[in-house]
Amino acid sequence: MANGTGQAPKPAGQSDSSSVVSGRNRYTSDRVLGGLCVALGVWYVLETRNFNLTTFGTGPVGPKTMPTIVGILFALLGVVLIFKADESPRWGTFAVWSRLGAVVATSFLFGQVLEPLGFIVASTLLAIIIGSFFRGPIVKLAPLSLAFAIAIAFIFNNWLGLRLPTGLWGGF
Amino acid sequence: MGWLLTSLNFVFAADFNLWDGFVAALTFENLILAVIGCLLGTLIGVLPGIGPITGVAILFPITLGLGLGDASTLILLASVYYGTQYGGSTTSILLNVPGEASSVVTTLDGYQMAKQGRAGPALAISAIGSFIAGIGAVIGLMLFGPPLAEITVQFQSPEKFMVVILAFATVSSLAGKSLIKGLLAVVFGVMLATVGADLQTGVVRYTFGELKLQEGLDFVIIAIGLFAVSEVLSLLEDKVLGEETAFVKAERIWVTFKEFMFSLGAIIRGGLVGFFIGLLPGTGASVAGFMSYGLERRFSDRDGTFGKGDIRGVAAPESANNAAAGGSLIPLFTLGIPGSGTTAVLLGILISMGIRPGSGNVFEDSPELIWTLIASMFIGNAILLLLNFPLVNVFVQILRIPTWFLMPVILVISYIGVYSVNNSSLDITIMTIFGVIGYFARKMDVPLAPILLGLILGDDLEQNFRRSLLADDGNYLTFLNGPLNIGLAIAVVVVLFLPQILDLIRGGRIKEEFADSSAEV
Repeated sequence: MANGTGQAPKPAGQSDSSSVVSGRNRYTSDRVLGGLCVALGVWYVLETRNFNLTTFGTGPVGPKTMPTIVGILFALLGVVLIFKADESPRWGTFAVWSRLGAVVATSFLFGQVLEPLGFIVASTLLAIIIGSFFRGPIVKLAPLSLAFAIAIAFIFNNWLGLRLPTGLWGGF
Repeated sequence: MGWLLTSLNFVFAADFNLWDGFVAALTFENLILAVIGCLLGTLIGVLPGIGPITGVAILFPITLGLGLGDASTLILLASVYYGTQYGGSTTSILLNVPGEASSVVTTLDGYQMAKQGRAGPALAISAIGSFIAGIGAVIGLMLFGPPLAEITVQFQSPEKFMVVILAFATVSSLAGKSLIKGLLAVVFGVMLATVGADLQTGVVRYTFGELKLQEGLDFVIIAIGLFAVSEVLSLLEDKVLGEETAFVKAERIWVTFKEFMFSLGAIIRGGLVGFFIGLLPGTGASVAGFMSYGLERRFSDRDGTFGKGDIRGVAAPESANNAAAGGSLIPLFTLGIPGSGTTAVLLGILISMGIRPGSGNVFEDSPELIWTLIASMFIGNAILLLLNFPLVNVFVQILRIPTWFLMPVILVISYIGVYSVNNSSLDITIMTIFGVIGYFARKMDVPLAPILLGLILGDDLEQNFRRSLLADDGNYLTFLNGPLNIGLAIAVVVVLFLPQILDLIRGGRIKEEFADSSAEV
């Protein structure tokens, strides 16, 4: 029951598709991650200097103390990772990356247009776009997405009492 | 036997006890909520892409909108949680796709049984085993929980700090493959917790001048991003790479009395193993499933039938992971140490209701919630058993929904959940960022649960850290002062190296066995 990581595991019997990168680049991914952790840790510690402590924060421990310790620890763990890197996973092809990027961009965009366009219009568009990345036929996707958005808006506004943004069209 | 008296006192004689919990859980409204929760949970468990964590995290803000009481909210979410377990096992058996990590082992014999046309008995024994073991674990929780929770009454700030450290150690050492990545994840979570105004001084930290960030990052938004959005991204990757599976249909769910008696030993052994593994904070159900399968195989596989569709190979791990889930509520309720991502979310929800296990005795401070919740576990398990027998094929029909429609649906529901937390579209942006982080973390075997736990317990860690040092003039040795603290420190060290210790004990045999069996599938 307690799923350690929440990640849906691969079907049993299917061999782990990672760790197929060979040669010098075998450990690059973890080393880059380690480097990023070091950078983030250092930035995180330096940023404590920008805390506005004019009136508060004196005494043996203030708002800076734990961030400093935690940031240093994070950077040190990053260094350890650089030296104890695991083998790199298999990264996606251009086809994968472009679709992932498009989904992420759509998701960002959704946050921007949700309030101006309203829930029904925004989520219908979102569903059509995301569905088409999963190779859904647009003829079926469009009406299904609209119906779904209207149903959800109805349920949430009328039964669950959540106010979804109405925008252009979407009041019930 | 003093502890037994303590627990019996809490269970039966306290002002608000188990009986009152049943009365509260059996109101019409709460029963309906439990049924809805079980149905939703089973659906979520059956669906690839949304697991228990996502389900509970998305539904939590929505239930807040419903204005239910705390007890009703907990009943609904807990029912969703159990429901996902049942649904997850269903897909393991019918599709060879485990709904979650803890049902991976179930695929070994479960899917073999399904291929031989014995999906019905496999599903039935999984439901019955889960029910028996789940009920047993709740009884264990009632017996061991209250006396353990008494210990926390003695906790001062240094002890509370050390308990949080212990929680971090357990979840990061056991959640993933690499201890370093687990630790990085938990420290990253603590860093996220420092975003916003400092609780003691009001000093604003790491907000990039964004006013809305002053309240800090909401764990629900981070959880949905890390788990749900990243899962959609991962599934999209699989879709592009063409990795998909077909499923076997179960004609009807049944098991003969003979088969049940044949599996009963495995259910009881699996339940016991699971319960005690669940007690170890931070371990959790996937370990329990593997251990009990390995032990059951050694104990009863005389004719080499395991891995080829032996019903006991389904009964043992299914019972074990449900018992472990019940057992893992003991460290959660007493010390505030969750054993998994889902229980971490549950802890976050309890904290947001003002209940802080580990910082006081929840059985004394919030008996209404705890006993109602425990009573609802009995009820939820019974509902699931009744629902699953007639409805399993209906649930599986959900899988006929094509991915191209399912994924947008999951995303839209995630977005509503996130948006309804603060009615803020900035939250959608934050969720998306964490979706990307989650995707990369999955690819690189960085466990996600520790990030969430670091975020949820980060404030507690810092507040107790500062209070301890202020009380002792900045003397860092205050954290090792007294027997409780030293005991906790030893526990931290043991837990960090538990995988090595376990490997020594079992000689790495279970892992090998699993590798062998999965090669045959």
